[in-house]
This record gives sequence, C-alpha cells and structure tokens, in this order.
Amino acid sequence: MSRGHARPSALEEARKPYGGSHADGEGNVRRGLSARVKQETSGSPGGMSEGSADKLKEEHMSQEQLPYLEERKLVKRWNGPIPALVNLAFTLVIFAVTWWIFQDPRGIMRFYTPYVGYNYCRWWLIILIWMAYTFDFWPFKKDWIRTAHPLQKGIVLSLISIGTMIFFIHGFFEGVLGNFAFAYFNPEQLMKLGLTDFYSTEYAAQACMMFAVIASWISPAWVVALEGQPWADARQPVRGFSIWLGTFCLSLVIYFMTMHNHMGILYYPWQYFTAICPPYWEQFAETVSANFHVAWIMCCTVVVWFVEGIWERYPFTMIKRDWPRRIALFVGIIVIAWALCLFFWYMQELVWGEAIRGHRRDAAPDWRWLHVGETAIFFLVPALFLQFYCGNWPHKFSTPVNVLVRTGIVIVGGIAVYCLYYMYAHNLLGTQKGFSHPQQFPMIPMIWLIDIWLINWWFMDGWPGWRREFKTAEDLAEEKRHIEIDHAWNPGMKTGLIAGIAGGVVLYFLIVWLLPLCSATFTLVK
Amino acid sequence: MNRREFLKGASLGLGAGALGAMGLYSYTPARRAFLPDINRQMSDFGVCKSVKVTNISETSWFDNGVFMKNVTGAGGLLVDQYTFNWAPFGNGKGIGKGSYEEGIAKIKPYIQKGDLHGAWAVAKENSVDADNAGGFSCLVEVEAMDGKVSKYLFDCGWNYDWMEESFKREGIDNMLANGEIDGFIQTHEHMDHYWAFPVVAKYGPNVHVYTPSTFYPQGKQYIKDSGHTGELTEVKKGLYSLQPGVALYQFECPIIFKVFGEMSLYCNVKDVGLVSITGCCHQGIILFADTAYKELKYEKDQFYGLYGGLHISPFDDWDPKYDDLVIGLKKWDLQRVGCNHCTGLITAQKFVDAGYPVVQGTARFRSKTTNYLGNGDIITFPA
Amino acid sequence: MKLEHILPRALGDSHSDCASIFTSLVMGAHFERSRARSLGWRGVRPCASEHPAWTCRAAGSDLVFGIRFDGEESCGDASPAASRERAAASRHCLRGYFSLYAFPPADSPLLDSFPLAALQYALSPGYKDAIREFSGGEPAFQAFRMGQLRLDASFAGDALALTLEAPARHRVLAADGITADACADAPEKGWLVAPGAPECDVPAFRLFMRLFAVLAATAEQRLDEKAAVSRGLSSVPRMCFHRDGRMEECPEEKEFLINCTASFGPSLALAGEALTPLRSLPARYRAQEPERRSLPVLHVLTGFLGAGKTTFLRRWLDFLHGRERYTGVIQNEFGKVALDAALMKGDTVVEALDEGCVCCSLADSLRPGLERIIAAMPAEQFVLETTGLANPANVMAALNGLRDLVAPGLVITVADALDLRGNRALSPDGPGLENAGIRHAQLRKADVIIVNKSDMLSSAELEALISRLRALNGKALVLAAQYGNIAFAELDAWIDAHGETRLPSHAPHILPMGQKDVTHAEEGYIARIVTFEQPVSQAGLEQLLRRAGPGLCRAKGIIPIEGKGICIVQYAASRLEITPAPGEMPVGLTLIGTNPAI
Repeated sequence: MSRGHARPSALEEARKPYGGSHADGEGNVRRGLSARVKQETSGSPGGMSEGSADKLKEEHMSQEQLPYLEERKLVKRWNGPIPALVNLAFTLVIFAVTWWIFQDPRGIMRFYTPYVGYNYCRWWLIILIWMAYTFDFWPFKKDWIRTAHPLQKGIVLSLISIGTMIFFIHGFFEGVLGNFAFAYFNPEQLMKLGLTDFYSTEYAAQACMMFAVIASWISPAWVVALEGQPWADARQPVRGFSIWLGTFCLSLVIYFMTMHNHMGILYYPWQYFTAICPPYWEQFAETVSANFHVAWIMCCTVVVWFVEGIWERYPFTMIKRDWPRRIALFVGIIVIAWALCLFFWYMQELVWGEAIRGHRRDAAPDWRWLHVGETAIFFLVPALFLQFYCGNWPHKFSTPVNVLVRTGIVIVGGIAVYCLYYMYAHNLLGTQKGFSHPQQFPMIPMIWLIDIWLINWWFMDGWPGWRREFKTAEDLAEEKRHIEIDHAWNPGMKTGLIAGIAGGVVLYFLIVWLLPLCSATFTLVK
Repeated sequence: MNRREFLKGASLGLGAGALGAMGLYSYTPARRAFLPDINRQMSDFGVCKSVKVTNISETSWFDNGVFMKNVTGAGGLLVDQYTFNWAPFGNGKGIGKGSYEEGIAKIKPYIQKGDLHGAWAVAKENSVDADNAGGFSCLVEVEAMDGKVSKYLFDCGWNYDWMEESFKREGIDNMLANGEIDGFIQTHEHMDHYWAFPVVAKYGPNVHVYTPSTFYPQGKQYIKDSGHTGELTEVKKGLYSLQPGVALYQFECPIIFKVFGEMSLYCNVKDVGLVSITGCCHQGIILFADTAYKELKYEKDQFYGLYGGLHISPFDDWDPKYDDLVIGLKKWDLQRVGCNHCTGLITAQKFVDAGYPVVQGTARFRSKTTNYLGNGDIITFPA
Repeated sequence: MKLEHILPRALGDSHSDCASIFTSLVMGAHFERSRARSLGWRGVRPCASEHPAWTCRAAGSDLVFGIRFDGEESCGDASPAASRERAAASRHCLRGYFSLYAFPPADSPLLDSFPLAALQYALSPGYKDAIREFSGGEPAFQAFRMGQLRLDASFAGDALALTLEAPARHRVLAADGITADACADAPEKGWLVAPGAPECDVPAFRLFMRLFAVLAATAEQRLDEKAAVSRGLSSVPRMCFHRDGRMEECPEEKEFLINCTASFGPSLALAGEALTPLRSLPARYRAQEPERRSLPVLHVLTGFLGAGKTTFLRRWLDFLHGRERYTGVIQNEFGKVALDAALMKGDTVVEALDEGCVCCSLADSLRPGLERIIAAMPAEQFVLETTGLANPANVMAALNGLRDLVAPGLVITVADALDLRGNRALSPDGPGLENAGIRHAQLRKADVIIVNKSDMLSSAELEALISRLRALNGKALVLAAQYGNIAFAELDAWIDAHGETRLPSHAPHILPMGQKDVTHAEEGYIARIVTFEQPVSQAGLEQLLRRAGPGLCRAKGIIPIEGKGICIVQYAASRLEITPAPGEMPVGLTLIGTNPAI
C-alpha cells in the first residue's frame, strides 16, 4: 500500500523526479563535443620517455608480422596486488572526472540523456577495437607505438579515437546516411517530420548506437574467432581495411535485419513499405522492439571477450584444424551468447514474474530484453579486470580448471557489481533509482569504464602499474606450446566430461530453484 | 581413472552442461514450472476450445416510448424497480406505488402451482404496461479443451409468457428439466434480466444459481419464492472461475432502478483470444474492456469477441469529443461482435458503418434490426 | 446515516472497499445527468487498473483532477468492550487513502507556479491524451500530486467521513537556485529560479477544495443528511532542495497543511486531531438558475426542407437514450401526413402536430401538445422538430409564452451542405441561398449549426461553406456532420460554456422599424400530397418530380415502387433516395415548394 502522502516527507517524495537535476537541456549536449576535444588537447602533458627505443626496435624486427598487442609483454612494476590497485584507482579517477564532465546528468555536458551518451560511449568502444584490433594502430608507425611513452600514446590515440568517433557519428551516419538515405539517423530530418527536439535527438542517437552494438560484436569476433581470415596474412593497412570493410558491411546487413525494422515500427505510421512491420521476431520475443536483438547481440559482445580473455579461446583451441576451429568459434560465440541471453531473461522471470505484453517498465518484454543486455555487461567488467589487471589469474591448475575458476570469479564479481550498482549508483552517478526507470541505463557507466580500461591497457600499456616489454622468442614458443599441449583433448577426460555435464545441468536447476528464494529474501532497491 | 583428466573433463563439462541447460531450457514453455507464484496483476484462468451463444431473447421491452413513459412517470432512474408497479409485482395502486411483498403475494399461489401463465395474467391486471415486458436471456455453450460441452443459462428475462415461449422455442425447458444446464448465471437484479426467474425454477428447480453478492433482500427472497431448491453461489467482486477458460467477473457498481453490482462472463478461447458475454454492461463497456485488458491474461493478447448489450459508461466524459462508443471501442480491434439489447439501434448501425465486424442477425421473433444478433440467432467464437 | 445507501453490503476485507464506496458514490450521482451537474460534476472518466483511479472535472475550475486509490487499512478498536466514552474516538472503521492530482490546461497561467517538471510535461504535445489515460502510477504525473483524500467508513455502517488534506501552499525552495543555462537559446547565465526562491508555489488546498466540495455535496445528497464540516490546521517544515538533489528542511520556516472533513454520523476522528467546526461547506457549488429550476428544457430543431433534421434527431436520441437521458419529441410537419412520426415510432414518445407550421398557424396548438407530452412522459428535455419552413424567430416568440412549462434550450439548425453549395456553383459571387429567406432566418437564429451531408463536399468547399456560415452567425457553434452524426457531447459542452450567459438564440430580437419576420406564407411555400394506388416506376417518379418544376424543394413519403415494394422516398436538393421499407403503411408523397406545378 503506497500511502503516507499526508506526511510532509511524502509530499517531497512526490516532487522527487524533478529534484533540480532535470533542468538540463539539449544545448549542453550540442555544445559538448567541440569543447570536449579542446579540453583534452589543452590538458595534455608533454614529455616522452626516451627508453632504449633503438635497441628494442632491432630486437623485434623479426616479429614485425605479429600485431602489437600480441608482441608486447606487460610486466608489473611492483609485486603483489599493488599495480592492480594503483591502476584501478587511476582509471576510476579518470572515470569519475570524465563521467562528471561528459555524462553525469548533474555535470557539465550531460550526455546521459541517455541515448546521446550511450551512443558516444558505444561508438568509442568500437573505434578503440578497430584501432587496436583491426588496424593494429595503423597509420601510426610501429616504431612509435613500440617506443612512445604510454601517457603520450594514450593521449594521442584517445584524441584520434574521439575524432574518428565524431566523424562516424556526426559525419557519416548523421550527415551522409541521415541526409541522403535514412531520415532516422538525423535529428534535424526527424524534426522536420514533426518530432520534438528531444525525441529526434534520442531516437537518432539510438539508431546510430545500434550499429555500434552490432559492430562491437562482429569486428572483434572476426579477429578473435576467424583470426582475421582470409586477410590475416596481408600487411597493414590492407589487412585492416579489408577486415574493417568486411565487418562493416556484415554489420550493416545485420543492422537491416534487426534494427531497421525497429526503426520502421518506431515511427507512426508504420513504414510497411520499407521495413518489415510488425517485425518478424514479434511473436517469439513478445515485443516489436529491437531490444530483443540488443539483448543477444550484447551477449555476443560479452562472450567474445570472455572467449578471448578469461577462457583463452578454450575449449575451441582443442580443435587443431584451422577452419573447423574458426567456424566453431564464430558459431560457438553466438550459441553461448544465446544461451546466456535466454537465461538472463529467465532469471528476470524467476525474480519478477513473467513479462506482460503491453505493460510498462519492469514487466514489459522490451525492457526485459534490454535488461538482458545490461546484465551481460555487468559480467564483462570483472572479466576484463581479471584479464587485464589480475593477469588472468589463476594459472596454476590445468586449463579447464583455470577457466572454470576464472568464470566463477567473474560470476561472483558480476553479481557484486550488479548489486553495488543498483544500490548506490543513483547516489554517485546521478542516474535514477530503480531497475527500469527510463533514465536508468547501466550500460553507459559500465561501457564508459571499459572504454577507459581499454585505453589504459591497449594504448597506455597498463601505465602506471605495468611496464611494457616485448615477448622473446622463448615466450612465444611457450605460448605456442601452451596452446598445443594444454589445450588438447585427452580421451581420459570423457568420463569427467559426462559427469560434468550432468553436474552443470544440476547446477542450472539449482540456480533456477534458488533465484525466487533469493528475490523473496533480499531487496536490492528499496 | 586418471583423476587429473577427470577433473579437467568435469570442469569443461560443468560449463558446457550449465550453458547447454541455459540455452535449451530457459525460453521453453516448460520453464514456467519454476516461475514463482508472485503477486501477478494478470490472472490466468485457463483456456477453453470454443464458445457458442444462442440468443433466447434480447428484446427487454418492445416499445421504448412506453418504457420511457413508465420510467419518467414513476419518478426517474433512481426509483427502486420493485416500487414501479411493473409486472409481475403489481398491486393495482398505479405507477410508482408498488412493492415486492404486495406483488408477490398476489401471484405466489400460481407460481407454486407452476401456472406461470395464470400468474402473469393476475400480474397484468395489477401492474402497468405488462405487455411491453420482454426479457434478456441467452444460452452459453462452452466447449472445454477435452471436447466436453458445458451449458450456462445467462439471465432469464422478464415476461413469464414471453420467456416461456422463448425457452420452448430454443429447447431450454427440456435442458433445464434434464439437468443439462451446468449453471444459471444471473448477471444483475434488473427486471428485464431477472424477473422471469420462476420460469427457470419451474423447469429446473435444482439448477445451480450464481448471483452477485449484492442482491437486495427482495431479490434474494424472489429466488426462494420461485421454488428454487438447488445450490446458490453469491459471487463477490472480482474474478470467479467457473471452469478452465471460463470466469465470471463481478463489478461493484450502482445501477439505475436501485440495483447494485453486475457480473459479466469472460471466456478465454485457445489460440483465439478473449470472448466476453455481457448482460447490459452497466459498468460501461469501455471500463469492462479495460478491466479485462489490465487484469486478465488471455490468448494472443487479443480481445476477440463480444456478445450482449453494450452500455456506455454512465459517466459524462470530461472531454466531449471522446464521448462516443464507436471511437472508444476502436482500440480493441474486436474480431467478432454480436450486439443487441441496450446497445441502441443507431449505435449498432454506426458500428456497421464504421466497419466493425458485427455479426448480422435475422430480425426474427420481434427483434428490430439485422444489425442486432436477434432473438433465436446464434453466434460462435471462433467463427 | 446509513452507509448501505451507498454500498448495500457489509464492509469486508477486499482491500478495496473504500474504492467501491467511492465508485458507488460518484457513479450513483451520475444516473441523472442534471443531478450530477447541479452537484457540480463536469465529467468523470474511470480508469481500470489495479489501483482504481478516476479523472474528473468540477464546476468552477478548469483543472482536470486525478484521483487514485492507494489502499486502505482498518483502524480504531474492534472490540465491543470499548467503553461508551471511548467508542466515538475509537470506532472501528476502514480508512481509505486516495492521492489527488491537479492538471491545469496547458495554457493556464497557474502552471507557472507548478513544479518545473510538471510545467515541462504539460507543455509536451501528448499532455492532454496522457491525462486521459491517467492511472496514477505514471512517474511523469508525480509532479502533479499535491494532496490527499481520506475516506473513513465505520464497519457498523453508521458513519462516513471524507477528508481533504493538502498544503495551503505547495511550496519547495530551490536552495541553490536553478540557472537558465539549460536553455539552448540563452547561453548567458541567468536565474530561472533565484537561490532560495520557491521552485513551485501552488495553492494546493484551494485547488482541491472545488473537487472536495462536489464530493461532499454528493455524499450529502446520497445520504440525505447534512455533513458536519470541520477544519484542521497543522504546520510542517518547509522543504528545500539542493542542486545535487538533496532535499532538506529549511530551518525555522513552516508550511501549513490544511485538512477539511465532511462527516456523517458519529465522528470518526482519531484522538488528538484538533478540529474547528465550520458552519457550512466552503467553496460549495451553487447551481445556476436554469439548473435549479425543475422545468424540462425544450430544444428547437430547425433546418430547411430535406436538410436531415429527422436523421440528426434519431441519432441524437440514440446518444441520449444510451445515457438514460430520456427525451420526448414534438414533431410538426408541413403537410397532412406524419411521415417523420412514422419513422420515429419505437424510438421515443412522439407528439405530432400536423398540417401547418408551429411558427404561424399552429402556435396555439403548441401549448396543448407540450402539455400532453409532459403529462405522458415527464422527461428532462424535449425536442421540438419544426417544419423545414419554420422561422425559428417566430417559434421563439411563441416559446416565450410557454416559460411556465419549459425552459428554453438550444436552437439547432441543420444546414444542407449540398443545398447551400448548389446555389454557389451557379453563381460563385452572388448571394448564397443562406443569405435570403427562410434559410437565412434559420441560420441566423441558431445556437448550433449542423452542416449535414458534409461528405458530399470537397474539403475546400466545406471549409468555404463553414466560414460563410461563421460570417453569417458568428456566435453559433458550427459542426460538420455526415448522416446527422456529430460528437453529441459537444452540444452539452456548448450549453455549459454558456451556462453563465445567455444562449445566442435568446438574445433580444429587435427588428428594424417597419420590418417583419419572414414567414413561409409570404414566400409562397405550399404542400401537395400525391397518393399512388398502383406501384409507380422509379422513372415515373423522377418524371413527376421534374414536372413539379424548379420550385420544388422537398418531397417525401412512403409509397409503393415497382419492383421494390413499399419504399420511403426522400427528395431534397436534387437528390432522390429510395429506401425499401417493407411493413410500413403507404402514406403518399408530400411535395413542398414554391408553387410546385403538379
């Protein structure tokens, strides 16, 4: 019974949605980008370490064909957990500052509208992936990448990534596609059609963001699963452009089949002649919203990084023949993602009851699918932390056990982040309280943090807690041996496998049985 | 067995098994077995296979002008129906001066003998415009998923003579006598739906009667005075399930002529959608549809069919441009409508003009238009 | 006081019994529209949701009020052992809580004092539609919630109390101010709300008092008992909020929370509630003079021959009767045969005044006709359907002598779009038909002009016609109709809008010296009846109508047609309609016009 309005405190409760923080308008968002670029430029510290660059250069000429991220070896500067804690503190400070500047609804630029901010952080992520994974830092010279000071590299590469991001969002999608192909990419076109300022900006940002969602699955999956084939042996920039074009086109095709129909039904009257309305997934997903695709594609993105990081591409690496392994890996990512996606849906049903079509907020199927994606992202954060800053601990057991332990840690970590987020984020980040508030978008802070970690790890070589070195021939040989020997199938595992599968199924039903009890016992958001 | 290898296999298997179970079980219909029975807003009352409605009589009275004269003459819409001096509760003192007790005293001897024609003849002498009385009644046949058909008699009309004739026309008298009727549903206490109850009691004294819990003492007494000896269930407000896929819903609302509460029947037809059968729908057809939408879980989320009188809301809307039933019902995308009784001839015509899926009747047995699903007509859901 | 007059059953544990009492109270008041209106109701819309909710309007306020049932609890002492003295203070009762929301119209200056979030929402385009779908749970509406209604009902069924509680001023200070820099077009910093100034300042109690007075008056009427009214006052700390969303109490500043209780039967006040008795209900709605008078209303329906008066009337009656607003009809036809009455039979009580026209030759027979129908059917309102040739000015003069029987209502003129266009087509710049003769008189005198057959015109033509009619009669409400269909509630809204002033049709009518009101006799209209012993062919009928010459304005009748049986024949504005009507009695064909040559 929600009552007690008579009490003065309840009267304030009534006005809380206002809270003084909603007074931000679109102007901020508009002015934000250029200012942001300027600020970062002026804040750049000079200085570049003059290490033994030449020596390194000679030493590693032989490994020219290896991508930079694979040829380097990051070494802790200090023993124990200190480097991890230092880097965590360092990145969190950057997160706090940049969050306040760019995203926070109470802060300066307030991109968290939420789709405008989501669009930026999602696109930033995909640009980082393109730069590091697809293009291997081309067009920068390998020498510079190898020798420049991490801070210098971090700042230069970040600025480039932001510039590229702005080009893609505002130049290509909004400017080119939005003006000459699809009105839904361009807020001004939408406004001309009679939409309000706010919704045009939001919906256009959503349309653009959804492309990044797909690309941030396909692009890394191509490199991780298909190992960059068939262009893996080409030199940069041919390799980069080929993979980039290939994944970009594939992403576009998937975009048409998933998100375009959503845009077709989003605007009234439905765009029957240009999109499949109502979309084909309607019956299955119980919603016409493309949040359904956001859900499983988000899981794909997360699973790609699980496979690449904490799972060391195991167990697919047990397939020693190249093409079967690559295809199994590519398909496997999708299959695992679907399993997770459906389970995350079920989890919500177990806790909150069945979704009801036509309802709003947390009973609505479209929100439930979105929350599947949100849940997945919560697990990516500890997975990356474990991989980057904890050296993918543990290593001391056999590979399957290592992978299992890591997965366990990530599950516990993910649940912790999930709980902490919903308990405290509204106090810290200026987001809304509760699970399903339209202004509640946990993907934004999570991906924002991940963006910062990727920059710290990829661009800044783990500075300050880590020092960059290069793998020696022995290191590479050891890696190869590890894959060959430790990631190998042994018929002796068969009994264990069968017992394990049975155990896994039992575990699943145990969780399914436990979840409603947990939800009845604990209340996360009061 | 190599313990080391076993452990490796088991670790791999644990992940594979859990992921596999996630993928293969989480989104199947079987998952519902684990769903908590938490406080859901939407009630699931099961499904049935099909519903068939036979209109026994929809003509509550035959001349609107005469009826309006009675109503305004007795003092308006707030007057207690038992004091109108309408048949069969006439006491000979003229319009607006009747009472249940005096009226029933005059006809009770005839009812006890089973001579309903005689009872009505006496009532006619003592009451106003008895020949104008008709009645609303229909037979609802529900086919369960296993093919078993249940029959519910829905209201019983007003005029003893007219209803006995109509019952005989549709064979209801035999069904009652043979115990084929699984339940008699009295939607509300209005004269045109209820006052021919002795006809039901005459042929089926043991039939199971369902009424709203809000009948007035006279209404409750009338059931006894009519010679009913079977079970009586008083339905409280909200949902009351009769059988899988069939439920009553009692709305607590005041109704003109000092009546309180009305029940409607909801049927959830498998793979088709919700079918609603109403008497008058005094709570307002829009509110009725909204309630179903917000409180019931039904197939395909489709409000499929509607049968009965479609009363509009008793309220004025505060925005005049919306005060139109044709506009109000549009959003439900009904697939099959059989309207009659208090719907209004022109409203029915407007439904047809607006392209609503109105099932046409045959305008026989004193029904006035083919836009009404008239007396003796049948409608089935699905078609 | 007997609660069973509102809810005829004992209170139980349904957790929504107070909502049932509320529904019953409000719905019961609406059976008779005039009664609801004289209590001050101006429309209610229920919303089905888990928590019942309503939106409504009340007289004297342009707000839409939202009411949402939040829940109920039982309080007081249930044990019969409670001593007699304590019984009053601790009567076992059910207390229901309702949240109150106030939605001003989007252009209301009142909105400026509302919270910014409310203002922002009210200016969004879907505001009005969103209010219609109000169910109270929407977060966007929380900024409009400003008061509470309590309903106490004793389990014994002998006491009921309604309490409104709202702050005298719903005021929250913005401690850090709100800068205007959020606006894109005002880059320089300016204060939207200066630091320490109130961010909102709404006279909440006063706004809700209108609604409360209507509710209390409704309960008084249902329970047939005068309410004991009392008022209480308490102070609560004034609240302010900081930029970071923190909300805190301002030191040493107070706001007043006022409550007003209307109670019936023994007091249900809880111990410790200090109440000041009031003599009567403040802000009570006083019905306007015509509403207080118990005389039925007589509307006058005019329109030129064949414009669609009877079609319009039948649809209007369907609307009214669907709402139990029973309406009697007096019909007058130019010609011997009561065809219209034949068409309407079964719809309502019809009194036919035949042969002649109420506006001149029949003025004297109107009174007995009215008396007959009022005696037969004491309805709230009647409609006088005049002949197509009647000049309403003359009818109005006749009505002035009937003020003891009926209160004058609307003058509704049905205009035939086809007829008025036809003339335009011949001479685009010349004076239209609407500018002369009977048509002119009918349109000039109308409160409401129904432009019927609007579907026969292009939208540009229709627009032009409507603007011509507006120029002709600027005060009238002009509505386009097809087959006589309009949103009939608009008529009620129109009467409401003129509740305070006189309807245009009742404005004093002074003619220039030496001029007389036009009558159809002067224009030379006559009626002829043709009867057919044998079925006539359609071609024969058309020939007959052609032969009647250009003076023929209207023909109608029920006659046998070859191959179609008995048909209703309608002819107006050069359009002939033949509708089969099996089972009707043939009544012959009436031809009306200026000197039809037959």
